[in-house]
Parts: sequence; C-alpha cells; structure tokens
Amino acid sequence: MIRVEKLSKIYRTSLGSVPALQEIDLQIGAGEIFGIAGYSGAGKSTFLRCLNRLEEADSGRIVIDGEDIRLLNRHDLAQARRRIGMIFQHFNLLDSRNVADNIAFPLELAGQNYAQRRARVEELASLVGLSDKLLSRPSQLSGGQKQRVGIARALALGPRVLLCDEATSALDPPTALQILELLQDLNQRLGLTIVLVTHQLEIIRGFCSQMALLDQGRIVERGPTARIFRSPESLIGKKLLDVGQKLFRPAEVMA
Amino acid sequence: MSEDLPEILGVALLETLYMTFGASLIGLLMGLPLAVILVTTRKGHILESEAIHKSLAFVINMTRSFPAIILIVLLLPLARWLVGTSLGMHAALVPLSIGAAPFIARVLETSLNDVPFGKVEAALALGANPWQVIRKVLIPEALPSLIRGITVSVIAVLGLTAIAGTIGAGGLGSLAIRYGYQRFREDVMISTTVLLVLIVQLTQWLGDRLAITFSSERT
Repeated sequence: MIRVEKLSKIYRTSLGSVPALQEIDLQIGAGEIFGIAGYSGAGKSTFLRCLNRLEEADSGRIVIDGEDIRLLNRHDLAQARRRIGMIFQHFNLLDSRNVADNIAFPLELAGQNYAQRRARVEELASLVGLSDKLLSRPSQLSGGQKQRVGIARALALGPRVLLCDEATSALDPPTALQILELLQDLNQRLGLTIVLVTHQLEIIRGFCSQMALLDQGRIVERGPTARIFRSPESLIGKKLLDVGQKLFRPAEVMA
Repeated sequence: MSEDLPEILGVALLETLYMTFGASLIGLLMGLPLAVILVTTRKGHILESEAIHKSLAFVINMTRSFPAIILIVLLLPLARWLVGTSLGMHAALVPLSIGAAPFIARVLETSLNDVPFGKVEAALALGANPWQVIRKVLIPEALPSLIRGITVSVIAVLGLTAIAGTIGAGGLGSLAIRYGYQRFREDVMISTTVLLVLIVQLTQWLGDRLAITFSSERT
C-alpha cells in the first residue's frame, strides 16, 4: 500500500543543516496498522508529514496506492490527499462550524452538494459514535469526542490510508484506549491501512503488528512488533524499550 | 448662527458618517485582500512568496509612514481626477479610503495570523486548494477577531475624517475648526465633540456586540 524508498530531508536553519530523514526505506502492507516510534526529534512526525507532503522531502520516492506522491503537481496532490486521511494530536477542528459541518468539510471541499453531504455525515457520525452530537460545537466536546470528529472527517471521502500524528497523545489513558480501539475496529471493518506515529511504545505494542523505530532520522529497527519487543537488534532499540518497560511496569514491581 | 446650529450640525454629522463608513467600507474592500496576501505569502504559508510579501509590506509601511494630512494633500489630485473636484465629502472618500486601506490591512493581518496553522494544515491534508483555505478556514476562523479589528479601523477612520475636514472635506471636524476654533464658538466646539464621542461609543458598542455574537456561536 505504501512504499518509501531512500527518503531524505534536511532542515536548513541559520545555524546549519540538520538531517531530519536519512534514506528511509519502508514498506507498509495494505490493511496493516503500522507503528512508527522514536524519541522526540527522531523524525517520526516529519516522516509522516512527508507522506502527504505537508512537508516536502529533498529526495527519494513515496508510492501510495500506486501513485508516485512526490511527482504530483499541486492539483493532483490535492486529489491524492483526498485518498489519504490524517488525524492530529490537537485535532485541528474548525471552531466556526458545528460537528456535522466539520465532518462535512472534506465533502464540501470535494464539491458535493448538501443532500449528498448530509447522508454521508450521518453515516460517519454513527461510525465513530457521535450521532447525538452533530449540532454541538467543537468547544462543547471532550478531547476524545474531538478526536472522533477528527476521525470521521478524515474518513469522509473514503480514504484507504489513515495517517495518525500522535493522535492520542493529548488524551488521558482511558480515552486514548477508546480511540485506539475505534481505529482498530475501523482497520478491521473497512480494511483501512493505518500509520500510527507515537512516542508511546505501549500503544505500538498493543495495536501495531508491524513497526519501525526511528533515531536521528534513520530507521534503526523494523519488523514485526512482537519480535522487536522480544529481541531488539539495535542499541537505541534496547535502550528505548528498556525505558518503556521501566516506565510502564506496575509500581509495586518497581519498588 | 445659533438658531441654525441644529441644522448645520445635522448636515455635518451626516457628512461625517458618510465619510467614515464609506471610507471604512472601501478601505475594507482593499484592506482585507491585502491582509490575506500578507498572511498567505509569508514563509511556510500556503502561497509562500518572499518577493510578493516583502514588496507589499514595503508599500504598506511606506503609505502608513506619511502623516495623515500630508497623505490626504498628496492624494487630492487623484480625487480631482476620479470625482471631478478636490472639495467635499465625495472627494474626501478617495484619500480617506487609500489612507485607511494599509492600516486596515495590518490590523486584519494580525487577526488572520492568529488562526492556528494546524487548522490550515488539516484543510490541506483533506485536499483543500489555497482559495478554499482562505475562504473556508482563515476568514471564518478569524471572524470575531476580524470584526474587532474592523471596529478599531472605523474609529481610526473617523479621526481621519476630522483631519480631512480641515482642508475642505466637510463634516464635524471641519465645523469644529471653522466655527469652534477659528470663530471661538464654544457651543459649536462642544456639540461637535459630543457628537464625535457618541459616534465612537456607538461604533464600539456595535462592534463588540457583533464580535460576541459571532464568537458565542462557537461555544
């Protein structure tokens, strides 16, 4: 579904150049929930944002669903983005619209008329469990509900891929779990391919069959999640997983 | 003149209102697009273009650095060419609007810049083109703040009309100078001032009400 070849990006600042991504090679299969982990600044969000070109890579190739994303012109890119959903850490809903109009936003952008939008919005709202909130304003919703709107909006045009940029990092653990279970459910029901970027390793352990670990813009581990958690090959992988286990081990065991 | 005072005041009031709201409206029609261009051509934004941003910013800064009275005098030939005369309230609209536009552009630029860029990115990720981002994200999301900015601008334009009044534009400013100041008519001075205060208070009240209406819609 997603094939990335030798993707590189350099951040040029007044202080010099910092490599953000270095020759990333990655394959993500259709219907997978693929996890991308790493310390802050490892390049995992940058990588995700390069996939739909919210950020431009400097070199390399990205093929999503047979389309060579980096070669698309502005117009074709906008079309391609309609087939790639995305959700964000801070939801990025529009406060000037109610829930229904937020969900309908991509349909409106695609030029659908009111009747078409209305039917689809109701369908999407029931998919994410928000049928009773259609007339609410984003400011009246809890964090979890906001992310549900974000998901419904991202899925409105029926994309085959969903990019999640730290989508549960601003939520409390029980709410984060509900959102992840919703994503898992959507993955199974719709065959949606999900790319999940997070700094929380336990999320990847619980929900992703395949994963990659990034450090300083390079992939240091990649493969089945179970195998990597059992026996990480890289030093940074060992370190990260070790920290993760100490942080999330039950308190009485630590003492 | 005392007997005529109410009538003279009434005419001057209407002239002032015409110039203030007329110039504000034309200034807004010029200023809002300029503000949108300033914001969207900024580095990293949807229509990034350093050349356009910098040259527009330069022109706006230059226009704004003229003292109001000088700018108005400089623009009088343009008013004569467009309206046929350089005197009266219709002619005054030309320099007032052109004087107001860069000010309004800067005020509205601030409001548009305050829209979190994540919302713009979300729209782009959903396949929005730049025009859709401007029309469906930037302007609606900034609306309450834009209304506050427009209120500030209208009141600033009211001040400009008083200055224009000193060189033949008519209105309350002109009345205050010609009768109140130059002929020592205290009653004219006081009544024009009271009217100006009332206009400012009413404008601010209305602007606040509108801004609250549009922001309470979202809570």
